Amino acid sequence: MSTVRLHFLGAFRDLGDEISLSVDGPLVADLRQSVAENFLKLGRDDLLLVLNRSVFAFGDNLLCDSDLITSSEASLLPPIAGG
Amino acid sequence: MVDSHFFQSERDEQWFVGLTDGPCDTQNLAETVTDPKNGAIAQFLGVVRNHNDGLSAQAVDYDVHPELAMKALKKLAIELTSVYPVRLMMVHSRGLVSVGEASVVIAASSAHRKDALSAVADAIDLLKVRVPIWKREIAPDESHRWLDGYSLRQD
Repeated sequence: MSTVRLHFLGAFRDLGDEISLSVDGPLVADLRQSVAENFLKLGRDDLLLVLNRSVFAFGDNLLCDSDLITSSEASLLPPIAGG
Repeated sequence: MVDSHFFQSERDEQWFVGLTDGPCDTQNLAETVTDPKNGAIAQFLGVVRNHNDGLSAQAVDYDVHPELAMKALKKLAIELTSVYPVRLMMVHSRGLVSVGEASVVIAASSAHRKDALSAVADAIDLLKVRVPIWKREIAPDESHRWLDGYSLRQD
């Protein structure tokens, strides 16, 4: 079990700027699962679809779900809409 | 264009990329890419409009991941200046931009017009699908909604 401080961006900012999560597992997929469970606890089922289309990053590196969690800080990036 | 207008910026001989707080400065864009060898300058301004999807808007609040956005802008600038013989600049806003103000400015110069026009067109198309920036649209009654976009997920 590890703890990850997760920074929210875009639509997730409605939940605040960041959250601390306990993650049960070594992979980014486990972090995604932990975030999903947190959204359900908050009654924000509506964010699960956005979460499914979102990507995690450590610093300036985008991650795949099969990557290992190598940092205690991550960002959660929903679909982008610049311009 | 002076680097100090930006909260983050980076330049090379062939390109300049930056992120600015609030609306983009639309003055003196051409100056950034001017080159005595180049006879064409193309510019694109992305301006906040007062409606979207049938709803009224008064402003857009842009959220940015600065590290990732700069990395993506720089990579895009390197890619485009290797494809087209241009000098290129791309700047995007962070924070509140009102209707009529520019949230993104792109300019390119080249010896002849075709390369500058193509570089600018590719730059805005690719920026929209690669640079981690998000739009929170604000309605006249101050309610807001986050706009959907392109997923960066690759697995």
